[in-house]
Parts: sequence; C-alpha cells; structure tokens
Amino acid sequence: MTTPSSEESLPFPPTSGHQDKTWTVARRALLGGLLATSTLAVITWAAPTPSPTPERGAFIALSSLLVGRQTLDPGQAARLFDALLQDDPAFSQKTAGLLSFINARLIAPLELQRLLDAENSPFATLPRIIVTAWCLGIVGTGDKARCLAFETALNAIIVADVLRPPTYAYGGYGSWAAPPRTVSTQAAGSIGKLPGSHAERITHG
Amino acid sequence: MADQAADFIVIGSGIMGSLVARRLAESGASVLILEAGPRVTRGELVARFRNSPRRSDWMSPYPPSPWAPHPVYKPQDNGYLVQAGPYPYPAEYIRQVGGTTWHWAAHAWRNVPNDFRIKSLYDVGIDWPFSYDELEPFYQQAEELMGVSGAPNTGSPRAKPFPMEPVAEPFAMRRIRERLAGSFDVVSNTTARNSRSYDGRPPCCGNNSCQPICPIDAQYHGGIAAASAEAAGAKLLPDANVFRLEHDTAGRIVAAHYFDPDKGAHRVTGGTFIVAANGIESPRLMLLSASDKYPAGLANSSDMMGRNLMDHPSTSLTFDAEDALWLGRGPQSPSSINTMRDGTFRPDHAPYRLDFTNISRVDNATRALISAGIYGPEFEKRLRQTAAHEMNVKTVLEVLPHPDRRVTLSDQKDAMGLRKPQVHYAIDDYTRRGSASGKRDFQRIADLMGGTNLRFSKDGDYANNQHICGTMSMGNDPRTSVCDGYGRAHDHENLFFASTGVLPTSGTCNSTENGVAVALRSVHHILGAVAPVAARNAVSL
Repeated sequence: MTTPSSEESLPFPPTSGHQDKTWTVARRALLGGLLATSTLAVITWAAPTPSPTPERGAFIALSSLLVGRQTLDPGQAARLFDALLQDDPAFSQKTAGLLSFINARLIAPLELQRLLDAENSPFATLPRIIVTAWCLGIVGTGDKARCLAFETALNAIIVADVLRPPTYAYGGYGSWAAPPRTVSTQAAGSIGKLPGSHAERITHG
Repeated sequence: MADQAADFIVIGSGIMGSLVARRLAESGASVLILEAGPRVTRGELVARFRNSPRRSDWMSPYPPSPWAPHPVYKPQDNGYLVQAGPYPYPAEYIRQVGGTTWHWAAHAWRNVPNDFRIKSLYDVGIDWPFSYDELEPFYQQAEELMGVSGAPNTGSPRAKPFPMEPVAEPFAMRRIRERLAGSFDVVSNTTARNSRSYDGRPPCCGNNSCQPICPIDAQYHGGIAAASAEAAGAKLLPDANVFRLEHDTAGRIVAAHYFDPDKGAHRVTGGTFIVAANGIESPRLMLLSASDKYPAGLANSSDMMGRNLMDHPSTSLTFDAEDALWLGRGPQSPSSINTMRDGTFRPDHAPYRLDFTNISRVDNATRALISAGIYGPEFEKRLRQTAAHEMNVKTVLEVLPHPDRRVTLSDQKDAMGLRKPQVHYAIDDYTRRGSASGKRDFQRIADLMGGTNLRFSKDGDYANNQHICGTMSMGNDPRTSVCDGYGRAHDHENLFFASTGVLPTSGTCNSTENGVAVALRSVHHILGAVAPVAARNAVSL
C-alpha cells in the first residue's frame, strides 16, 4: 500500500517556480546520499516484499525523482521493473547510468528531458518509458504494449481525491452534481488513504 | 448442416435488428437472427478496458474477429475499411452480438421537425418520405424500449413525457450552463441512460466510461436489445457471417448464405428478410449478392445502394476554463447547445449541435505531460491543473446527401475471401461553412468561460462520429432511393432494411434513435401487411 508523502498532504501545489527550486535542492542532497550509500532509506518498503537489489533500488530512486514522489508502492515497482527489463535487457544498466548522470550534473527534473535531447544522450528515451509505466501503468509500445496498472497508476492516484478511474462508480446517483471536493476542501482525516481505502470505497460495476 | 428456416430472417443483432426481431417474435412469428460476430459479455468488456494499454482507443475492448472483421485503427490500421478518399472516413463499428451501441454516448435525440423537409424549406438535401408527426409515436416507442431520459426543451415536440427525467447535471455542466446563460442555452442531453431504476437496470452511478462500456447497464445498448429479442422467442445465431442473399426468378429473397468461423457454408431460408447489418456492412452485403439477374447487386436498380454516405463531422475547441470543473464526474456526455440545429441559415451552411464533453482529462493530460518531458513535482501539479480546468466543446455538423459519398466493394478481400468495403468520402463547402460558424461560437464560449490556452482543432480537420447513415436511403421514388418509407426494398417485395443507413439525411443528432424509430415504424407496417400471412404459414425453428 502506498504511504502518503508530505507532498500528498499539500493542497493544490503552488503555481510559482519556487516550489520546484526548493525541492530540487533537497533532492540533489537526497540523491547524493542515495548514491553514496547505495541504499534507499526514504523509500517505504512494506513486508513481505523482498529487499530490493541495487538494480531495483536504482530504479526506485530514479522513478521517485521522475514522478516527484518519495514513496512508491513496492509491489507495483517490482512488476514494472520486471516488465521493463523484459523489454530491454540493458534496462538496469541504463537506469543506473541515468541516475549517475543526474546526480553528477545535479539536474532538476524539469530540465532533464531538454538536456538529454540537446545532448543526444543515450538515456533520452528512458524517462518517458519510466514515467509512462508509473503514471499510465503501461509498458511497451504498439503491439507490445501492455497494461500493468490502472486504478493504481499514479495518474489515478494523483487525482483520487476528486475523480474515480473510468468504469469505477463515482458514487450514488446524482452525487456528481455537488461541487468537487479536493484535498484542499476535504477534512484532513480523509487525506492520504489511497489507494487502499479508495478501492474499498469504490462500488464495483 | 441442414437448412434452417424461419418466418423472418434478421441479419445483424445490433440495436435495430434486435428490436425489430423482438417485436416480430412477440407477434408469434418465428424469427432467426444471424450475427456475424461472437457473443461477448459485459464483464469481459469491462475487464478488457481496464487491462487495455490503449484506454483512449474505445475500440480496444472490441477486437475484430478473423471471420467477421470490422475496422480498427490502433495500434495500426487493420486495413479492413478501404479508403478511396478524397477525405478519410475512418468509421468504427462493432460486429458482435449487440453491435456498435455497446459503446456509444447513448445520445437518443429526435430530429427537429424541419429536418424532415430541408429540401422544401431550405432547398438543400432531400425531404423524408414522411413527416415528424408520422414518426412521433415511434420515437416514443423507441424511448420507452431503450429507457430514455430527457428534458422537453430540446426542440423536438412530443405527445407524451419522456420515460425518465434528465440524468442529474454534473457540476461542471452546471457551471458551463450558468456562465453561458444569456448568450447560449445549455440543455441536458436526451440519452438512453437511466436516471432511476428502469426495466430492471440501475440508475447511472457516474462510472464515466459510457464509451467504451457502461459497466452497470445503466445505459441501454444492443446487447440488452438482443437479449430481449431472445427472451421474446427469437433465435440468435452468433458467428454466422452472411455473405450472400439468394433470390428467385421473381426477385423475392429466398435464402441467406453464411460462413461459420471455419468458413463452412450454410443456407437459411425464410419468408421475409430484414437486413440490419449497419450502414456499411448492409450495402456491402447487397453488393456482394450480385447475380445474373441483378449484376449491380440487390436492391440497386436505382444505382443508389451504398451512395449518399453521411455522418457528423466534428471540429472542436479545447481550453482551460477559469473554474475548476473537474470533468469526469458523472456520465461522459451530458449537455449541449441546440440553438443551431435549425434556422434560416440552413440554405447557406450546415446546422450543428454544440456538444460539451464530460470525459475525464486525466489520461490525455498524462500523455501530454510525458510527451512534453514534464517530470518531478511539476508533473503532479500540472496534471491536477489540467484535470481540473481543461474542457472541450465540439460541433456535430450535418452532412448533406451526395451520391459521390458512397460505400462500394474494394478489390481487396478479407480473411474469408470476401471483398472488403470501400468508402469514398468528402467534406463539402456547406459543412465547412457550418464549421466556420461553429468556430465563432467556440471563441464566444471560451470568452464567457474565462478561457485560456485555447486550442482549436486544425482548420480542415474533421473528427468522425460513427453516425453512419444514408447508404440505403429511403424515398418515394424508386429511381432515386433504395427503399420506401417502411424500409422495404423497391426491388424486392420481401426484403427490408432496419438501419441508420435508410435515413435520407443526417440532421444534427446522433443517428441511433432515428434509426430505431424508423425501424419500429417498419415493424408496425410489416406486422400489418406481412405477419398475418407469415403466421398462417408459420415455420418452426
């Protein structure tokens, strides 16, 4: 189960660029520590999930950076990693390489793709592959594409205080007529219970 | 296999074929429905959607069967519907038990009365062979069968109330209606969606997946119609791909020939044949049935079979509204502006309906952000911003009948060795001028919504709405139409069509309810004129 990060407890994220700059500084320090110790203390690993290998740890760390979340579901991470590795046997090395690259150059997430593209980096395709896996739950393209997550894809989690994934009931008849209640308008006690509590609230069709 | 026989052979188990079969079976006649595609359950479809890597491709839960293909375009075009141009017509339809309304927005509009007389009133298109008033009782029948909810302020008069009140208005649509008040009247859509328990099905629970599949059957579809036909006594044979109708020397249809999935050929005989295989596959079957006596195909002495293909092209505007609307709460397609569906402008440009979507923006916004390389906390921030504020409005434009827009047979063959359907399509100036008028409305709507980041669809680009009509157009003159006002082929006494293909003009509303109402009018006629004879000669299945 995902544990809510401090970011999840925020209301609508600020619209200025200050937030990202502040975060970036913190993340730079974080990544330095991660790489120095080869551990991922900030990632929440729930028993009985096996401890990650360094390769899987690098994937988690890079994923965390790319999707802007300190906490990621370990079971989902394992499924995504396995699928990505199946598509590309060099995925582990590429992931570690990109992580080292980011750490060495102290690159902010928002600058990463532009920089990789500008430098014709061999890592240029990697961020989109990883973010697509986490945020849409999809690995692979064309005929090889498959869905590994739907209601637990991060794009569903990010808006779960307001929306249900398509095919899941919003609520009783007419409940959608009321104004939407975001995390900023809901009681604090209802925040951060997703996806587990979300799934329990859902009325299956 | 020995021949099967029935009083009525219905080809196609979609919403029209199935409701016709139901009515016929209820009269006591024997009815056999031949469906090219397989049976698929609602549960299977929901699972396919949730596990699809292409959730925005509403055809992804409906893969074609090798023995009865239909067009799909992702992850790549399967090449089944051959495009002859000049403008692409990437029609989508579903060959399975229940047909294409398994995925639809459930819009169940009636035409407005003037849609039946556009030649007389505006000197464009053609008139229908009957009036709105003559069809009105059958609209009501269709609405009661499908379970239609709606409000009476949509421009289509009615003798009786809707079976149900309109579905509760989503908050987003309320804000749009409030902000446009005084400039545009935003009305709730007339839909085959339950606003209360109806006919054993529950009210809408806001699953926001009306397309591609309502997971709770709060929305009517052809699968429900097919089940009701079977409950009434009709026999339904899936995986029976009819490839030829056989006639006698007098021109009466005597048999339907179909392939099973292993290409075993079978023959079914009957008294009356009703072709309800949609606006593309039906004319294809008629053309495939060419014989020495009818070298241009059946029901085609007018050379009109397959011609006058129409749909509803759409242009659109996507923008960010000032309000946090959060599209995706409630049903997908709840509200429209109807004021441009008719008026004195119709000699000059196409009428249109303006349609507001309530489809969640989340998946599309996610893909856009990934494409733009937005990572880190900014991703979440922008995703929420877009999911809350992005909205879309589109035109639903009339296309006039023109013989050069048509369905023909391709030289290419499908896996069963049958010639594929080929489409010839174009967007004319009448429709283009309508879209220009719609674009001016888009700008005004955006201004009233405090819109920013306006993204108009590219000039000259028109999305398709899968409202296939016109290809078996009905009319009083056998020289210029395929069938009469009851859907009976001018050339074959015992051959009827039940399809949106018989609609002579497209109007500005989704074609299904028009097609169902016309089909029910045909059944009413058949039961009066044909069924008594059939009952005397009843054939046991």
